[in-house]
Amino acid sequence: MRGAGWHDTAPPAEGWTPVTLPDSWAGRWPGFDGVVWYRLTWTQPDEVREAGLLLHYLNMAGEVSLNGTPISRDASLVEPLTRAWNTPRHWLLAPPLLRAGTNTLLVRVSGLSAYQAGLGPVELGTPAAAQAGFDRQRLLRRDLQVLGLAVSAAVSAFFAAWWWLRRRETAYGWFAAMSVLWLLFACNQIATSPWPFASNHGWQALNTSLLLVFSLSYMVFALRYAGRRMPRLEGAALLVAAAGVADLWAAPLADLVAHRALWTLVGGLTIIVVNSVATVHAWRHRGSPMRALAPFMALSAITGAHDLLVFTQVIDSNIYYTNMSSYVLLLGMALTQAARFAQSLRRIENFNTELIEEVNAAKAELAATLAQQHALALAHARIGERVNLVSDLHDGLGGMLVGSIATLERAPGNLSAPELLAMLKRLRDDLRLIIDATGRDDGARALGELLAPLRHRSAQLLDANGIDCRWKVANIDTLELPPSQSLDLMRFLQEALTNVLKHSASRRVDVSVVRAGAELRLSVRDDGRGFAVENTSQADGAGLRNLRARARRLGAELQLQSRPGETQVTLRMPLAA
Amino acid sequence: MSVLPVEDADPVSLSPALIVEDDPQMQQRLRHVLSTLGCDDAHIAVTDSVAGAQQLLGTHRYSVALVDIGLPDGSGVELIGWLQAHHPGVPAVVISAWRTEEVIFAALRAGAIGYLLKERDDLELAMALRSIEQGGAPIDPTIARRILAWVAAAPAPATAPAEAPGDAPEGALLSALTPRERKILELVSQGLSNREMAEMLSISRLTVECHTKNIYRKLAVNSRTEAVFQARRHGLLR
Repeated sequence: MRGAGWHDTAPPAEGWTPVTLPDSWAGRWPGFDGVVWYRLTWTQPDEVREAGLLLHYLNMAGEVSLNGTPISRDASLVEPLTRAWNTPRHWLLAPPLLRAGTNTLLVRVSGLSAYQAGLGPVELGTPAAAQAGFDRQRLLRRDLQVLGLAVSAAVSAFFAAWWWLRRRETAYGWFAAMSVLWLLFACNQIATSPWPFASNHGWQALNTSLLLVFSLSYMVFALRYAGRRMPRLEGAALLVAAAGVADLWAAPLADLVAHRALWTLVGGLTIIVVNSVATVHAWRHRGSPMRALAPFMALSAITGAHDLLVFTQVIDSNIYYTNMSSYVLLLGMALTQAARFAQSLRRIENFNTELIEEVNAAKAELAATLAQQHALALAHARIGERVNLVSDLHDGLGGMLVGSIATLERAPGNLSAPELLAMLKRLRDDLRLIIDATGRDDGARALGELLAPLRHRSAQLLDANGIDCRWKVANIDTLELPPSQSLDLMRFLQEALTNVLKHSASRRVDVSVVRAGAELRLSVRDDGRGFAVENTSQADGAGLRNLRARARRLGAELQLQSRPGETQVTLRMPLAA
Repeated sequence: MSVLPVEDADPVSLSPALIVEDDPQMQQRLRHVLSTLGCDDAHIAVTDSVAGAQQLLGTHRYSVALVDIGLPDGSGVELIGWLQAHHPGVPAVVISAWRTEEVIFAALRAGAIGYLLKERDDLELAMALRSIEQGGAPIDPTIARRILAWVAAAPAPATAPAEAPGDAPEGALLSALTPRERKILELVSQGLSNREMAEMLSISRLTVECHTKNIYRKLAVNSRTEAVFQARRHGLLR
């Protein structure tokens, strides 16, 4: 029955109306905000001494008394009303409070018709049954909600941290924002006071606003998570949400119920649509990132629909499941992320393996390239040496050829056959030296090795002419010189030995090729008749001229000493460090 | 020049001689060189092909064959191999042009007992032939170095047959070369003359040359055992 004012302390005597619990008086007395009295009477049998009483909820705040004795009273029975709408209560009733016979339970409810004001189901039974019922109600209406809020807070902190460290993962940022909004929204389930608002209207406006903003961020999250951006849709949703919030706060108190219902419907429908679309998308597209979340979203869609029906009182209940299903969604999100994380780790591990392989491949390639470059450089060096050699061929052999041609042209008739032969042999000998000095393809370059054929040949020839030839070679086994330099040294030796063979009439010749420190010393000494060192104008002076020219080219010092019985030609060449 | 007989010297008569050479000038030159060594012109047969040589060898008896490498109808190396198989009593001497170290080596492995370089003076050719006549074999630093390098990188088959019981080959070159022969190869590769080597090793110059000839023989024998080994390994011979 309706009370007269907010401060009634006793029920009116007349005007009771029979109702069925749960009851919401908004339909009976629209717009009535104030105190409503509910009176329940039952007959207690004599033999039953104790009874359990369970009151699911009363909306919003209230006082309960049995047989005139108050047994429960909420903190604030006037605005700001205590928000006891989700608080189950239970009592163990026993004598003397409980009487045999007729008992009267009086429930004084202070409520606001806009918020389904009324009384929930009341159960009377054995104390154990009432206790069990109470436990169940408390679990549903409070414990699970608190647990959910805690989980939600932890998860949002986690995702917020994730997003903070990886800003481009905007989906996680939105998820964190959405979780926080949901957290605030869900506080409604356990809040027992409209603080910080002075009235429950403010609280409810905030609550609905939170739902709206939440639905907006939920939509953006879903889009981002699917890797999509829909600026127009998002902009439109933002405008709608902003309009909703503004409207909720600006609406006159009288119309608040309708506005609140409208915007709650908008928010709820948005969430249901987002869930449905995401589920369908995941269903249709095999590669959709939504796929892992889809079962949770489908569940969310179902509970959302259920809760909306409860809200619109199509279903007669005041238990909302969305809250709990939202935690399932959170859990799903966490699972999905764990899977993603594990997959990333695997990818990183594989990446490491691949990286090592690639690095090895790159190393091999680099080594090959370097080897190739080295070979190329070597080839270039060889080509450079060849070019030197070719110019040497031109200067040496070519010069000799030109000289021979000139001699023949000047005096074609005056040249005897032996002279001509000597000329040709000189050319052939030079060609031999060039080939010797080129070394072989396997890289025989040491002067000692290059000299061997010359030494062998000249020894044989001198031997055949009855000249005893002795060589002294020291420290040149590893001496490598540019081919053109080796060639000039060999030409020098050949020239000197030819002179000995042709002109000296000696019996013995001593050849020495010695490296001493940074100097290479070549000397050819014979015991022949000797020659006048200054005299270079005569025929046999040509050989000496040649020796001087070679010494100049080598940057070496030439010493000539000659007297009958001992003639020595010495070449001293400084070696590059 | 001391021409004292050496125990294992194996003199080669230069008459009658077969010249297998397709260059007419070189034919003339060799005829001339041989004649300066006391070879009667009537005992010098000349042919310019492998087929001609094989025909002549089938009908006549020669105490030496001078074989050019690049012949119009085949390689002198093959002819030397054929000679070893069909007329092992006729020693073969290679006539080579410039820079044919590989070919000379192949010919020695086929069984040649010496080689002449076309670019040398007649006097030098005569000296080489004289040395061959006395039972020696000419060698020069390049070939000596080539043999040494080959011995150093002796392929596995060169030693493998020695380990197989019953095979009892004449021996791998590596183990077959005596320390003295090795020493001689090393000295030659450094450019030492025969006289210098003879003095250094206190042996006669002819003995030095006989050593080189033995080296060539071992080279050829080794090449044959290796061929047999390879043929067995590939199942061509049982």
